[in-house]
Amino acid sequence: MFQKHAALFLYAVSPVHMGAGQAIGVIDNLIQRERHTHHPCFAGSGIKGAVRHAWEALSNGVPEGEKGKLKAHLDAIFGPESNKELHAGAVSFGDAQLVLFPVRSLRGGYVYATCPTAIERARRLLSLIGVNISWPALPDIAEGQCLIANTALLSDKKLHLEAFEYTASDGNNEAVEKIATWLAENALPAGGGYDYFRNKLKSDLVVLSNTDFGYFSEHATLVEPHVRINDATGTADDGGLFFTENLPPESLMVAPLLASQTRTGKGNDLEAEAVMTQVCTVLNHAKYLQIGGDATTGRGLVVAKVVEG
Amino acid sequence: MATLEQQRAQDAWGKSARYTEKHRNFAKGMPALIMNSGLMQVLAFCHEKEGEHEEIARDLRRWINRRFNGADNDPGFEPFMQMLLRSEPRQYQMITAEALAWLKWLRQMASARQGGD
Repeated sequence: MFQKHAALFLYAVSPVHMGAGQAIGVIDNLIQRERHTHHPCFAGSGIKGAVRHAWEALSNGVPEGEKGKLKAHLDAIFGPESNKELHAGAVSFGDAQLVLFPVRSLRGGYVYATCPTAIERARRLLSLIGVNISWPALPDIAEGQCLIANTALLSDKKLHLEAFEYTASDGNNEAVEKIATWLAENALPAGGGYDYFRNKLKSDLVVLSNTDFGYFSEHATLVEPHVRINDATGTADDGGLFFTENLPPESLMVAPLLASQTRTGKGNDLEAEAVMTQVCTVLNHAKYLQIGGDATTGRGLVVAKVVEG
Repeated sequence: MATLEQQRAQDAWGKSARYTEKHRNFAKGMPALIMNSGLMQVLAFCHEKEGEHEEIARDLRRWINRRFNGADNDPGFEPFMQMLLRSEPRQYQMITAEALAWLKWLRQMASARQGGD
């Protein structure tokens, strides 16, 4: 049983390709999506692997003689590799769900879009793990309507996202403002490098209806063509064309992070609190996590922020 | 009564029967083009390019017309663009989503019937 709970916010700073494997869709290499909402998601196993990798990278400098000890420690925390003596790890990363999705906007460049379902699922997750939040309830939003905190995004009382127009509902800005401020201050990493994005999120959060948000989260991802270059001619080979989908940078996801005491069966186990502290230390010290595929072309850089329950 | 997915698949199956390799290659990239550039831009591009591009666009227009107006014919480039230009944003989104749903089948069927690489 897990005794310590936290929320892990993941903010994409580069396109993220968490692949869905052999899926057949409108393009070739799709990203992972939830079955019931079709929102993009990150499998917990992928996050766990990325955190383990970050821990190993941070421990690069340990002396040769200490490496075995480090390995045993990582096995105790994350679980051993399959060919080893079997025991469970002490930390659990759940699947990350979508909170904010960036959408091109006529004014302000882009907005952080969300919808009642994404907000309420984030609210539920945060309250399940004991994070105290006081987000006001969102009013109903009809299709074609939006809730905004910043009227500077409007032209002629309309919000323009990509090719589409949304009418801003009046008088309901307070809830949006409060949720935006909480997310900006808690879900984005601390530090000067994120000031611009914190301020932008505070002013440019837009709540769309579930249907309208669903359209963007499904059809406004980053789709890139890839070709195979022929070494001899330096031009694209025939038949080598494929399309890859990425979650766009500036997307925000949230996942549950749970810790128990280590259970190696060898005694001298670490308490859950110590496990959580160590994982948080790694997450705070790693500048970023690398999640999903195509790492050698800069894909998958996300910055993590832990909010403890 | 076939499901909507079956109807799309059936339509794509029938239309891709006469497709050549050029059709197949363009069908493969068309959804990405729509996602990145928008449906109207892509239809205008196809019209200008003529040949296989316009043939696939014609098949797409015909399917959309069948889905939304119940008429199994191609309304033609200009009337179709006029309809899109005048449509409500919600309607335009629905048509775009439908185009992508149909193209998902078309690109698979075209490859399968042609023999993939």
